[in-house]
Amino acid sequence: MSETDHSKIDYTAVRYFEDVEIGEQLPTLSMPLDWTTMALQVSGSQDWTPIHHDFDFARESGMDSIFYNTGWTSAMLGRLLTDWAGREGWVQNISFQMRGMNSNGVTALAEASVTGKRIEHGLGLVDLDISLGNDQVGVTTPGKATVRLPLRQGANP
Amino acid sequence: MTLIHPDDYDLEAVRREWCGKLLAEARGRYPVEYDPIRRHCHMVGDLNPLFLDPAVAKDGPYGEVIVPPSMLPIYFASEGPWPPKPIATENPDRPLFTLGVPTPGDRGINMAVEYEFLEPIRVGDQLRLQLRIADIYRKAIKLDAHAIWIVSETAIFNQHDSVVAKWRNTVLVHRSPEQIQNDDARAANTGGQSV
Repeated sequence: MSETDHSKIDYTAVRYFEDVEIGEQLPTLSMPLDWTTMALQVSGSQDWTPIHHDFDFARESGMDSIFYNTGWTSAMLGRLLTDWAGREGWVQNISFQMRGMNSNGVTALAEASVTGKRIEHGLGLVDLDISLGNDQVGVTTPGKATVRLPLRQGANP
Repeated sequence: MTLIHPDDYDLEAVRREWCGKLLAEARGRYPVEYDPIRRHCHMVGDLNPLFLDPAVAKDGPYGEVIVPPSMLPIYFASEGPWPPKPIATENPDRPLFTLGVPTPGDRGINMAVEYEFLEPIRVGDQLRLQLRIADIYRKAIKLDAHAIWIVSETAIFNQHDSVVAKWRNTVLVHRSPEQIQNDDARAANTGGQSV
């Protein structure tokens, strides 16, 4: 399961817009992928498309192996953001392109960095580059996200 | 499974029939529930109490456990993966990821997603969705020169008819190596174009 130390995540903390700096790196979320995580992605996503769990089907489809599905990919990137955003943060949008695959035997790595911040209509918005990848091939899934954070001088609606 | 030889595939006719079409209007069989959220969190080791602990969430910013922004809200806005959806019954020969759109192949890879999360989705909410095909095009990949890409747009509504999330998805559908071999053999025998 995840190598992230849960004891270091304060889920009750509030992260304020003013305290975020452009260039800031979010704590990396890492997870070794094995048979158990493969089963968990099927259970958690309820996606039984065989390309995500049936090695013979994957190879017959021209792939080297099974690969983890969109629901799991989204969950990894989402957790990366919500662990960081704090209890008042709101993930406003996420987009990503699945250009490579993550399969068993690798350690998946979800990473993000702050690329910009702005106030629009009284809302504190933080833009991030996000990515999912692994320790063997690097980034497989680049993307972008925007997180809304509370302002110290005035609450977001 | 019905497979189409690329020489017999009329992309423009498929686009005319499917692009812009309201493909599905579905209502969640069940309201938003705790345990599917728990399973979603479990798959990536997420311990966030806003998603897992009703007591903590009650005193949080949303007053109830919410669906994590990374969880595809379509899960709660349709009839779910089992029993089979009507689309599967009406198009028994097409894999679900094609949304019923005819394609030469029957193997799928999801390529890109864009989510917008507009309002919190709370346990107990009753969701519904509208799904449209936005685009269909051919773009070769290493595995298959006749891969078809399908772009869909889904809007998720709550019981107050507010749009709570939007999802734009791009899936590619390709042929298996065996199908390509068979298609190429037919093309060679008949003087067709398929490669």
